Amino acid sequence: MERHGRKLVSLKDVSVAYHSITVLQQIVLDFYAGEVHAILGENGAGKSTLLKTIFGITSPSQGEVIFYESRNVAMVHQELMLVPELTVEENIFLGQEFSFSKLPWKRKKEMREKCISLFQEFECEIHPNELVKNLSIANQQFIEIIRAVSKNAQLILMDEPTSSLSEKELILFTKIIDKLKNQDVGIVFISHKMQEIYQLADKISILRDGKLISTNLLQEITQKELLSQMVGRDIPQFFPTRKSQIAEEILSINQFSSRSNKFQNIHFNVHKGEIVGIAGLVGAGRSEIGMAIAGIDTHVAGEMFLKGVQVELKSPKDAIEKGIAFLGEDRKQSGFIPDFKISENISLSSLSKFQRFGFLQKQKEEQNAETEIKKYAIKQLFKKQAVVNLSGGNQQKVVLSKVLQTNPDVIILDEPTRGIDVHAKHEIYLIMNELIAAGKAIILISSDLPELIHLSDRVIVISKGKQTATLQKEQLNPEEIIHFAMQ
Amino acid sequence: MKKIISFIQESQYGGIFFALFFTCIFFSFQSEQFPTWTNFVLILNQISVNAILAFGVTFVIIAGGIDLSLGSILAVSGVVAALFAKEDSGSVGLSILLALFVGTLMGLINGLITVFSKVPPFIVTLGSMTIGRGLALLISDGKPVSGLLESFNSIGNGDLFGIPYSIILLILTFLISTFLLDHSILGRYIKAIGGNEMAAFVSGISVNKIKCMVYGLSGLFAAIGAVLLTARINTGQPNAGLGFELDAIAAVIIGGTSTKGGKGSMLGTFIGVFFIGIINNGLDLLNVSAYWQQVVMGGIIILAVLFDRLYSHSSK
Repeated sequence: MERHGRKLVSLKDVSVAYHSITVLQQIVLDFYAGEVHAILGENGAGKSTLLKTIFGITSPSQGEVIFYESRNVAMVHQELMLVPELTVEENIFLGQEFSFSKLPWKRKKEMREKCISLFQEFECEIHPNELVKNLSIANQQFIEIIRAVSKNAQLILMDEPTSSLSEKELILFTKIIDKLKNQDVGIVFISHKMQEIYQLADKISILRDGKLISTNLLQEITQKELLSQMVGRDIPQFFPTRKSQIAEEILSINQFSSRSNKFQNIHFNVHKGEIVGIAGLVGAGRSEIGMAIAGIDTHVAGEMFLKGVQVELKSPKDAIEKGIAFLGEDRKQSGFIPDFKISENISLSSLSKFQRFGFLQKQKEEQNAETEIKKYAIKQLFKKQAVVNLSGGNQQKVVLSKVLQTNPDVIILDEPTRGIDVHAKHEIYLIMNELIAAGKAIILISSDLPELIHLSDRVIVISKGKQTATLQKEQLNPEEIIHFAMQ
Repeated sequence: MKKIISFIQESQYGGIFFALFFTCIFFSFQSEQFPTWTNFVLILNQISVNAILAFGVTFVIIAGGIDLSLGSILAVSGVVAALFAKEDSGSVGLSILLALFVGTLMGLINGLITVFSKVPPFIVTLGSMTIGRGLALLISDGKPVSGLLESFNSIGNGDLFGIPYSIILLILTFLISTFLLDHSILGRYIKAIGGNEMAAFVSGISVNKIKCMVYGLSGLFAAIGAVLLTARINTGQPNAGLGFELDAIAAVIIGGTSTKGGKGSMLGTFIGVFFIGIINNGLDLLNVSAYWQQVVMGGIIILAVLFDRLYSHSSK
């Protein structure tokens, strides 16, 4: 028996089009008070646009958004919209400071009191005077949510709120969601992580290519059905199988330490045809190890051997020339050039292949991009589209293609599937398999434990910058990894 | 015709093209002398120095930097050129070579300081602007250097088959900088660094090296402008080029290059310089006082950018 709260917002036949390209098609959906509604879909399915349309930044080209009570809707964006140089408190009340008719110190006191009561309610241990730039991404996210709550929003929209949270932070996040539910706030959120959707959601809607495929209560739909509805067909096997054909050692590091103390005494080796995983909590120093191996952070001590020869990397350029490639965890920050089109991004690390006497051979570059776009099934709305306007999964494929253009022997992948949909994830796993089959070595840094366990031949566990375990394939299970990661 | 219109609409210069077009029509109705070939050549001649400087600084701005020392580099290089092109003992070849060398060197030093000190380029080049001006006065002893070789002066006033050298130089530098920006690896790297420096670095680009080269290029172009200007006025003026950097930067911005870096074009800069030149020339022909010209010029800079913004937003 369905139990509904009050209806808050309805979408009536809402369509959205950009540049005459339809992003959403005749969506009919209702959102209720006290209900957690998850929106699922592949990248580019129109999920973010859906939220933006409810929020009002995007206006529907057809149909209407109906608000039954008030228009008090808040949104937690995928890119956090806080002012880094202001304090936590100032950010929470930004634009809704208490009346200016009051004396400033009185106003400040009231804000402080409200802030403290909000923090108590949500068991938040951040100091109101802390500058936002000093907070972790997870804490910034909480501040965004608390900001939404402070506005007494009836409906809170969250665009991938959990993509950067660690396991521990996730528990806190779940608590907050529960609390909001009890206060009869409606929540709409986008996520790519099945586990969380099952933990948090009451209702699930699936979008595909801008169309609403289904809306179901959580218990009415199985995970398999969910996945196949998202991609429009059955996924044969989420983690593709592969035969390990581990050959000779290609890279080894010994006594590897960061001079700025981000990690100490790391030692492991990687063989051709092997995936070595690096596990650990967010902030344990995993990415820093990756960046040191890729020559991005040169502030390191210790030994590094490449094909048996000791090397000392001076720059990323140096690393790339020696056959080490790196895919960073934050593709916006260190992955792509936003205004460059796909072909220009793909060739960026390997321009020497597309030049003669310093002249760019643009035709050759375009042809190469065509091949890559086909090979990785990169979707673009129109030719010459800037990479910044592609969906997350497609951006990731562009960056991956760029990284692989240099024909590396060792590939470091830092969170290669973060924030991308299942279909794109599966495709990236297939690419990894191909690389392994071609005798490359992969170092995989991932917070996604199932992914790490299924893909890795061996896993190094890092805790607070120290290597706490090296687990073989047979020993790999979530409990074991978390045990060492929290040591 | 349709093709031309759609090209203009699709290109990023839509707004400025129309502004240029309407300004030309306006001046053509107001003054009979304006729409003549002689006047057109005159305008090109007048804008040549500013254009060359603007091409140089376009590289810097696209790479996400700024160069305020152009005018001073121009003064130093100009004085150096004049000192080595004296009637009694000078040599044109040596004078030009030395001027270009000094300009490039000053640019490279700007780049090196920016890269290694991490002091923002605005401040570094603000400092070197003052240093350069001082150096120009020092080496010229505070006096204009005159009495230059006739062959040197002809660079500024001579012509080849009726086309002034200055216009030839203008077109040459335009072609070279367009080629560098749009068809060379260097240009691609410059745009990448301006677009996302971290990603460029991780992708294996030697960011520091490219940045130094960019400032070096800017210095080199300022020195080319210096040779042209010195030859034209027959003297090496330590006070030459005051405020030229701002004219050049204004032209770059009017031409649609983003001040945040990453995006821009030499054609845009050329149009920007040309636009400024046309307005100066037109107002001269209308006998508008020099004081009013400045007021109008400033207003037009803002309007041009505003127009461009509105236009590019509405077409999206």
